[in-house]
Amino acid sequence: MLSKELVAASTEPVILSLLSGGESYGYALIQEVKRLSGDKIEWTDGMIYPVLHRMENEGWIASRWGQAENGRKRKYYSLKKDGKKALERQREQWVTVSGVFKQLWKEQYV
Amino acid sequence: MFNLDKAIAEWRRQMLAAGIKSPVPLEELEIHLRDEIEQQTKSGLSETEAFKTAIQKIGQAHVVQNEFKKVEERMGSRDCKLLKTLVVVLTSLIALGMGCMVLFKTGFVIKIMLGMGLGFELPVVLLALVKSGVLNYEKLVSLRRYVIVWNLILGALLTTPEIVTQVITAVALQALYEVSARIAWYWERQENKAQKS
Repeated sequence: MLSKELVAASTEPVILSLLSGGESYGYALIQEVKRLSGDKIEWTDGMIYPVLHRMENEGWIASRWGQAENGRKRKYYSLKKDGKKALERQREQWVTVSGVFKQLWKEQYV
Repeated sequence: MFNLDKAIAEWRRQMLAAGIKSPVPLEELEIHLRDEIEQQTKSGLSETEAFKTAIQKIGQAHVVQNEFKKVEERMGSRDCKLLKTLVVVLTSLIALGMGCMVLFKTGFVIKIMLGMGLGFELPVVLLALVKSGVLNYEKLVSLRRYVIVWNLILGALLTTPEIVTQVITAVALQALYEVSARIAWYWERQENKAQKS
């Protein structure tokens, strides 16, 4: 399990990255993260929606109501231009951090 | 016999009670809940169990509500920025109008109309700033001496160059300022009372 702080810090860039692959909805985003992290990142389900709404207010993502395959209503989110820019900014930071770790831990683990 | 729709209705009621008032997030959360329950029952859980784990995973009502509140607060701070821009635009317009009046020596009637219009707008702008947290009673009081000078200048510019009308206008503007300050004071007292109780 990830620490609370790390989850909080990584939620936005993770959502932005997921949406850069096409529009999606809350439930699918959570499932996707769970799968990609090998069940290690488990967001509290309710928490993703406030984050999505905040990012929408920020003008990073857009939302629309659509219909799911099972006929139910569903709110889809997609990346906007500002969101792409935000993702690029955050990506640079994460790449820097992971680059540092890679160099520091190379000797110990390889 | 477990009734899923009834259980979900009850859960909705709890979320509403916790303060998730806007229907859109709640609707979204409910759809999420149903998706999760569907998934769980497919993997073999009974509907009762699926419902229990699903609401646990979605999080406690007040915790989720807290997160939504943060979003709203941020929106509020953005509104505040908008207000600040508005004030800047408004003041520059006033300055522009003044400049034009001085340049073209506008007639007395136009001047006094413009002056009154802008003057009576002052409390609205001031109180909007108080509401948005930019100003408070204390700040309004500490600004008073500058406002007096500014009002006298306005009085001179807006009326005929004569001391009596200048002072009358300045006093009127000052009165409006004092009223705004008084209202701000009253609001603060109300807020303090509300916080104590």
